[in-house]
Amino acid sequence: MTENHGFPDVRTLFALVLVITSLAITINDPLWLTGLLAVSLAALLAAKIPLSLLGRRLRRYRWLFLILALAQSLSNGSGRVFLEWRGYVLLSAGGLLAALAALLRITVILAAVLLLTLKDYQQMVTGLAQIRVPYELAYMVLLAVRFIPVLVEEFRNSLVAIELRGVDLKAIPLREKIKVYSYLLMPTTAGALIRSRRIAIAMEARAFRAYPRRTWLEWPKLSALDWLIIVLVLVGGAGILWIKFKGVIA
Amino acid sequence: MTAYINLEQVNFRWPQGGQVLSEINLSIEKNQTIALMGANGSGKTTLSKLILGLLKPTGGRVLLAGRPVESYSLAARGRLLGYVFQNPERQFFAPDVAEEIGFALKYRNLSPEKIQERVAEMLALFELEQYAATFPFNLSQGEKQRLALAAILAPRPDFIIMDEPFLGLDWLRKQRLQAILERVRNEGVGYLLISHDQALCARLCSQTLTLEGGRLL
Repeated sequence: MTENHGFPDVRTLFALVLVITSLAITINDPLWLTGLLAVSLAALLAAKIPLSLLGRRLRRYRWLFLILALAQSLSNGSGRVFLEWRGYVLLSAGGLLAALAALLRITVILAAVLLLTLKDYQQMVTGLAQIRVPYELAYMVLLAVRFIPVLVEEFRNSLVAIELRGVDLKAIPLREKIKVYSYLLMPTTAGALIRSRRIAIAMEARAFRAYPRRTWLEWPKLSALDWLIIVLVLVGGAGILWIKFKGVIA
Repeated sequence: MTAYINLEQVNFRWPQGGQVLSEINLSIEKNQTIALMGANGSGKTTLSKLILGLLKPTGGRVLLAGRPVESYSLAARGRLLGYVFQNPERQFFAPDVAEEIGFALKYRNLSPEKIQERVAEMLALFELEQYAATFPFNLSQGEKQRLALAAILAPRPDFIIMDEPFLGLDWLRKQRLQAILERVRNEGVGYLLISHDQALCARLCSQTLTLEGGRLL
């Protein structure tokens, strides 16, 4: 089939996410990162994805952000110094800008990745196959992505199971705590291995990889608007990278 | 005097779903043995998780030893109540069977000798001696079920909640588990047994409750 399955096509989303995340990783200038964030938020609003979803994700990783921002701030002592201790620069203008850039970068990446939630698992696999990714690889990548929330859930379950054995993780000494947390890796890793083995068997039992080629139930066509956005995004992204490497943007 | 576990007008509804439990009133004494039956999806596991405070009721309250269950930390609840998950794999985290059984004992100020003794006792009771050094995930379903129970019973909780502990056990193992639960009951430890096996429930419990349409019959 070569029907059009509505705008945006999954390849348009891939292009958007690829360009936005690549720029977010490459650029350090907080002003440009703010612009990138504005574009990402506009894309989320245009796609009718509630911004509260992004807010929830940001809240979930707030401690990670704080640690990252602190690390960035401490490792960059350039510019005006605001706080110093025994010759070590603890807070400086450069450090604050680096921390701000780190926070903006993560927010941009999280916002861009949210765009992919517009499509379901099967549409993603088809999209990857359409950009010439071998279908075996496409399935593997998406299974891995699909497993991340499952692994997080398993990690949480194990944590609950440990506490239900009467172990107060807040009250035990740090060394014990590290030991207990190391225990958590065990069920999570074992669970992931066992599950992936089961899925591999189930897929092969249904003739996955039995033939070098496979047919697709749906093979959507790109609309004119999709083409326009892909071209604009790729050209725009390449242009910004060119300016960046010319040294105009930090 | 309030019972050990008290559910007062408890309601539960999933955020994007229908009503699961309605106006549940239940009092359980520490040494009571109660069976909880009901069709698949009737809310048996949900009820057990509400008792343990793993889920929060949308109405009413759950009291444990006279206090709201949420006023205890998860660890404190775990010291009072033992919980055997429906899927035993969900509660394993140790590198071997003996460690899995002994884990909770290490945090109860028991001497290493006492811990070893208790672990050996549990391994023998649940016929897991030959698997003491085995990775729990490599056990068969029945062995996993036995290990889950052994690990929960080892620290001797006040009360045990078991979510379908007979699932996946053959006739012989069921008989043996039944004997173990009879022993637990004779030692004065109460339990809430979630099961579909009417005959076993009748044999092991003094009272049978049935959940239907979100209500206790």
